Amino acid sequence: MFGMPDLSPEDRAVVDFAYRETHLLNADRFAEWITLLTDDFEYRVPHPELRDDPRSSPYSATSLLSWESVHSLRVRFDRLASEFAWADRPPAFHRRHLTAVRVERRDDASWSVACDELVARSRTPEPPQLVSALREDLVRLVDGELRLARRTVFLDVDRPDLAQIALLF
Amino acid sequence: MTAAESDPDRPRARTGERDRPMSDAPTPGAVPGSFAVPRRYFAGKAEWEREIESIFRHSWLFLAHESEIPEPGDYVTRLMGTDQVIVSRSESGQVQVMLNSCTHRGTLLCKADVGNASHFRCGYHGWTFANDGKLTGVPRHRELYGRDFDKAAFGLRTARSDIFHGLIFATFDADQVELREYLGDLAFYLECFLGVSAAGTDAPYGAFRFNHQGNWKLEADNFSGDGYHLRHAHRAGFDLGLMGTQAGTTEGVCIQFEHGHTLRAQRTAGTSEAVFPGYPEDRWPEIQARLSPDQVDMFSGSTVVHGIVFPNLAFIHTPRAGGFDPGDPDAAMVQFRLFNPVGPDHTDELCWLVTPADYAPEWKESAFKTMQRQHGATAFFESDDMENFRRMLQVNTGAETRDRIPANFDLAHDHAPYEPWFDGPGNVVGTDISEVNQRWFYARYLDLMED
Repeated sequence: MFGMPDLSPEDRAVVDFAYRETHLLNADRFAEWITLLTDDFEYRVPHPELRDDPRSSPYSATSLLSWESVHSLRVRFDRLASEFAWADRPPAFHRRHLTAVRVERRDDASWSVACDELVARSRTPEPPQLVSALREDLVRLVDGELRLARRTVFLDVDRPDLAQIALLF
Repeated sequence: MTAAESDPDRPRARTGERDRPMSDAPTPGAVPGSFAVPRRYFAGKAEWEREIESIFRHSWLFLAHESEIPEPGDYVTRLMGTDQVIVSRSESGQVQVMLNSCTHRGTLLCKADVGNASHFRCGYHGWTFANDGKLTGVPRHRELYGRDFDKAAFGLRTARSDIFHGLIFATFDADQVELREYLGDLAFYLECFLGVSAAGTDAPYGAFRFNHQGNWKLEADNFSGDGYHLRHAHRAGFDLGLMGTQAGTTEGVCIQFEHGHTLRAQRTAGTSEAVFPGYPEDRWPEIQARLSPDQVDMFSGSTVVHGIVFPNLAFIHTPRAGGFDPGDPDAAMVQFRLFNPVGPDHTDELCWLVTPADYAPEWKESAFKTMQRQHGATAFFESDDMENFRRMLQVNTGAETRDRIPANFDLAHDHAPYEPWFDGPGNVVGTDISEVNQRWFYARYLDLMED
């Protein structure tokens, strides 16, 4: 739904939640971001796959470029805080830009959230990267608080460079 | 030099640059007796072109798993060196590997990554080829080419292909030995994890593919047997408890094979019974029955097996007690990883999880998750390796560096602390922290490059 002025207060809160948690990722405030996840949170990046038929999905039904859980993300963030995060020293410049955030209420306690996302990353020697993606989330109310339960990232890149998928979207 | 390395009946790594002084002036790393490889081989365009000509045009190259193209008409498009190829299953069920280029004017025939087609039609002048490579259609051919036009002379160039436990390999070299002979004694070890089930293998999640900055040989070098980098490059993985059985008390070997293949294996020290960590215990009798007694000795208590099929296919097998996430079942991950040099500084990679075909979906999912987290495109284990490869490229393009400072491979040239615990083929060296396998890989590489 694009009619932002018509959003209900509950839907508006979900949009605000999307911007807030994305800001935490931009600010590298991972310890705060991870508290916004449900225990069963899953992060998936389906593998882009070019097919001749334009009616076919351009994403693999089985293969993934990334599959994370709360447990694996906690390990990733612990590594980032350690002395041995070689691939992240020095850290890259990065920013996520969200546009066209759409929310759709599924039931009393969950929403589907979709947005278009542009992720910028730069660090020599990799060339500066701009990656566009469709980000689809499932947001749930848990004990009265909004929590991120699932994130699926559909890249607009058919064969990504590692530098383009190094960041969480 | 170890007893094994000095055995005159076994293949030995040659000395590479040992007898070739790098320059007249003393140069760091270029010391007499050193196994050193000039850095230009890791960054130079001329060297990359010679690799394609001297190595990739003549080797058996891995392309796909048979289960990616199960039905007639299924295809995937891949690379053999710098050549675009179609790997398809014809209407008769045969696997074909063909150049992906119209024989008229040469346009790329099939532009998709995957699909199903009985024919491939060129988008330029409409020449049409069956999925076995035969030319079947030429618009207005009798009118414009005449009645004597011989379609059979214009079929797609087809490579020799063969399948080993579901793995499809191909070569354009008519003089190369058969695939089974090319793999040689390495097959004994690959079958320890590819041959555990009578149902064969599959790649249940297909392939995933990405590009990265870096020279392809650094992947081969790393997977060929680099036990030295683990506790440093992947220190975070050990500190955070993610290395599973590899973090325990282990003993290991490095093994070299004809044609440049290598393997490094570790097991839990002192294993005395037939145990297969990661595999469902109710399948252990089947594993034991299918492997030879020598293979059981080698594979029992395995904590990791990895290596390369020369030149550009890596494999790694790691069991994981309890899977990756809490509550996940035990799993044994087998990843095959292909690195194609699209330039001296850029590599196209494909990765497959390969599992016993009839194991439970939950077991396969746990193995896939383990692969994603340890050796996936965004896994930090891989990220830290790729960071090193990227940074090596960054310096190896420097003129003074490229020409004067070699890469060094002298580690553990006279060090073999273990008596191998099994009697297996190949040149088995009783150490798991050594550069003996890298010396073997680069010796083969330099032999072919300098022929």
